[in-house]
Amino acid sequence: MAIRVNLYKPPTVNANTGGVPIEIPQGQLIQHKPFNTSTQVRIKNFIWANTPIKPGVTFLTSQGSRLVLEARQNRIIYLLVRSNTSGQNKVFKQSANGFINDVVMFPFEDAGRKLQTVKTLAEYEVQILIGVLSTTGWTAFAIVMGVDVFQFFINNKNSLPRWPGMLQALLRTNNDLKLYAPTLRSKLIQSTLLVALEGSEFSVSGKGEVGGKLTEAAINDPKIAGRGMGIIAGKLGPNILNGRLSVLSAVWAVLLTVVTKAAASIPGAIGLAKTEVGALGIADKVAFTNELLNLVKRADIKLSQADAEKIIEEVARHPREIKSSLAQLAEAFKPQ
Amino acid sequence: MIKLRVIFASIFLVTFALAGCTANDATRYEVEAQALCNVFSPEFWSTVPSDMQPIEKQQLLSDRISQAVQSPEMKALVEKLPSLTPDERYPYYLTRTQELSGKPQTCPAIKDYFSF
Repeated sequence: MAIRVNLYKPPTVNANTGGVPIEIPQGQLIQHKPFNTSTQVRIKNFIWANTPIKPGVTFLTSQGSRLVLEARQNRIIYLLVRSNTSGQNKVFKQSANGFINDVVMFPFEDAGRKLQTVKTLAEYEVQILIGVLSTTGWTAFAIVMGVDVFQFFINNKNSLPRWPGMLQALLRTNNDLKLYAPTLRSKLIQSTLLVALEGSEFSVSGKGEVGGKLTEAAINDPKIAGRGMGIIAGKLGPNILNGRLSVLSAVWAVLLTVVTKAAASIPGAIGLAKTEVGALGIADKVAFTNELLNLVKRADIKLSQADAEKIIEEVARHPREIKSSLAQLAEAFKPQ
Repeated sequence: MIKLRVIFASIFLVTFALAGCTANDATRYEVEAQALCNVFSPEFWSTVPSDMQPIEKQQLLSDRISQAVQSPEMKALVEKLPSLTPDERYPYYLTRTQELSGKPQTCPAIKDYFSF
């Protein structure tokens, strides 16, 4: 049997591509050359030992079905048949080990998917879902969130449990920050996250401020906080939200360093009288300001140079008053 | 005095109930780990027709895996395995199942499956 699949030109690049499939571009399929159909690759484990990888055989993988065209010890060439796309099927090459890995582990991936479809949502997840749906509605869910409901929870399973705690920390620290670090609060908390709560029961109508009837409840109840984060996710979209959460996590860490440094540079600043001037040297202020600006850029958070300087100054002026708030935020936003 | 006794009795009952829950969970994980191990047992696969198509074999494996595990923790283990390197998989299986069940859950059949 000689399978002629169009016009294959042997790849000129090193076939040892690790485990990743590499597409063989149409342009390289130009020579009438039959594939070598006499070789096969054996999988060593007991279950697969009598099922060699050889031309003409099809395997399932998470990307689609793979029809093997050529099987050599160092690489497999196959036609990928995707079931859910209208695009044409493509030819790939992959190291034999990488191919075997994909085939042998597919049952785990497939079982994982089956198990996920019967996923039961935890109570806080239901609240997040309610929050998201209150902004999007069922039909728009997939459009706004980019995925269906279950996939959304699967994709975000590591970050979701932290969402309620994040909003609780923001709401808890709101008053202290309003008093001692108004720019920080306005530019890094209000404008980035809490603004999305406007119009909901978490906000005071028309004032652009949190403080609605659910705000206090959310501070004490993670489920209600989960609903608030769901609203924010629905308004911002999960990608923007996750980007902002991740950058803010780094921002809190930087500001905590500012607090520590400012406190250390004023003998007895923490625990004694309030500091009247920023306690950082010029070089430190510039360095922290730049660090802050570089961070926020990553999540496309709008922050002017003047505001960044102001934030560093506010934190440096009130390390004692702000330390606990920043520590709470840093803890809640800490990556897992 | 009676009040004190009631308090002690309550503490005792709660502690006993919690210990019972933990033991039940550990047993459940042990049963599931055993069921997952049996998915790959040579005894079963020796009875499978040798001309079974690869896709049928993959689907049979997938069905048996998804039937074997029921708890969220064991499901998470199944989902995690493909993301690990081949060398990491069996040690991860051993560590995680021991953490859950409180006992070593060696499984030569799974070890063999990951040795390709």
